[in-house]
Amino acid sequence: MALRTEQERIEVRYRRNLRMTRRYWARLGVTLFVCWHLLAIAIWTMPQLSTQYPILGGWVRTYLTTTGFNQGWTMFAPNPYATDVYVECRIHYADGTIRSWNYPRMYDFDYWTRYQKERWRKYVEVANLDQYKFMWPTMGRYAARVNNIYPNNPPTTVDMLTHKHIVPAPDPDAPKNPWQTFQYTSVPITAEDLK
Amino acid sequence: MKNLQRDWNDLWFKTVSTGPVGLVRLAIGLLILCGGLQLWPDRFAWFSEHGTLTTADAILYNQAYTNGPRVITFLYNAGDGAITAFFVVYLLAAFLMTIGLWTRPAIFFVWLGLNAIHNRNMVVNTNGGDQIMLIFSAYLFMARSDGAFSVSRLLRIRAGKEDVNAPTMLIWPQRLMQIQVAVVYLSTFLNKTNGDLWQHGTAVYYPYMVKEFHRFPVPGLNSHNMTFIEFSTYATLAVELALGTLIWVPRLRLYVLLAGVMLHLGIEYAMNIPLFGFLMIGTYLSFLRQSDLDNFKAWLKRLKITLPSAVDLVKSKTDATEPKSIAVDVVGGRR
Repeated sequence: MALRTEQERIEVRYRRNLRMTRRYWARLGVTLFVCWHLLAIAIWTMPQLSTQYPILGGWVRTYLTTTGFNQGWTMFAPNPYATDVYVECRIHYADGTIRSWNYPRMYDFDYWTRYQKERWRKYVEVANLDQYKFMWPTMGRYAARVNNIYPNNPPTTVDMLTHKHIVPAPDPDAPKNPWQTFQYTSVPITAEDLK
Repeated sequence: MKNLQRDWNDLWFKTVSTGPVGLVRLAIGLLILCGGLQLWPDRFAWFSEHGTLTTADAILYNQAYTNGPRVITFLYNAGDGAITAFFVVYLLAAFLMTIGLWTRPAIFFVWLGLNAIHNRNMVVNTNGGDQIMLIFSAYLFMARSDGAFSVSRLLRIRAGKEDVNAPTMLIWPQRLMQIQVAVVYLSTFLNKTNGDLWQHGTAVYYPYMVKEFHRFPVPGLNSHNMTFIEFSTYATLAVELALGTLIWVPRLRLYVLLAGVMLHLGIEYAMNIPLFGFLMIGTYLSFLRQSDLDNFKAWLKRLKITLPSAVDLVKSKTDATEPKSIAVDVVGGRR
């Protein structure tokens, strides 16, 4: 076996050192990243920490919303959802007729369609809330477009009604809560809205 | 100090098989693909200006819900053609991610696509499953996800670049996945303990009785059977606490994971919460080790099911036969 020359030994030592240096810096980089990342998630998922350290909270927000790591695990917490909701749209047409149309309800679908369309439940659950009333005109206009089905008889107004039912406590003697219905807005429809 | 450094290296820089992460990629990729296909028929309703949420409304909602900078706003004010093109690319990337071909670029596009979807319509794309897809696609991008269970590996074997032993990787991206799973359960457990319905043991009853959530009937879950309602409620809390804490006890790991699988299959049966349960079960794969895959293979063998040895996608040099740490690049590839 041929012995290495001095030059070859120097090259081997150089490569080994280079590898060790790269490994050191790579590990340091990964260590800094995981420490920051876990700290950010801890602060985000524990809101009391971000209010205690507002500057850190700001950096964390920027980091997490930019990367998509922002997260909240409050499904069915602190208490589970206990309200059945659906939105009915009463579409008034130019000739004075009225058509009733519901935003998709899971209850009306077969199992397969229900699995595919579940996001409509989420949409209705959120969009009918008072705090998101800026969504109501769009909600009404969408209903008008979907129901613009008669030639020369366009929708002119959409009345939006919420139907709500609160699940009663699990007590056989508890009174049954009736469904409650109320109109939460009325959206005027123009020809432009139907395009 | 030396011990601390050794433990730290063992925690984050141990060399492990790429098998478990390959499985996570396969499962999460498939579910992301399913999620994309679910969105496809309603893509204009959710993402166009003549749909249910205009870009202006979406921005207002994002500011109220989670204000902050966004990495991509591609779907803001997008026309129908752009939305369709976006989904074609996104679904193709999800498919490539699933099969493990051009894996890292594919995962990057999936992550970008998920962010675009999330940012354009946060009203309907913020459930637990959506968050898991987004977060795990980022972790899978960091890991060597195509090391096992991938078309890339098949091609490398065919080209003679790899033998039957799958390559190894540094554990840190897999460790981040594991910690993320524990954070999910610990966080939800702590949030639930503040709720009076959870404290009183009746919480499980309510969402089950909401017609819009309802799926298949659970005979014991009715107002005449408080014992079953209380058992289901407290068992849910116990399993979630275990998944956040006891999961780290090596001897209990597989039992805790099994309890988690049972919990999610139960929810999947009773309630209509698409993909969430399967996504969570998919994340559990990050807790598996090469030895678990070997045991599974042995179990298959006992059932007279054998994998073709030349294309053994599971086999890997386990960390037991490897030195604890070897030179690696930042993204986990072995030098």
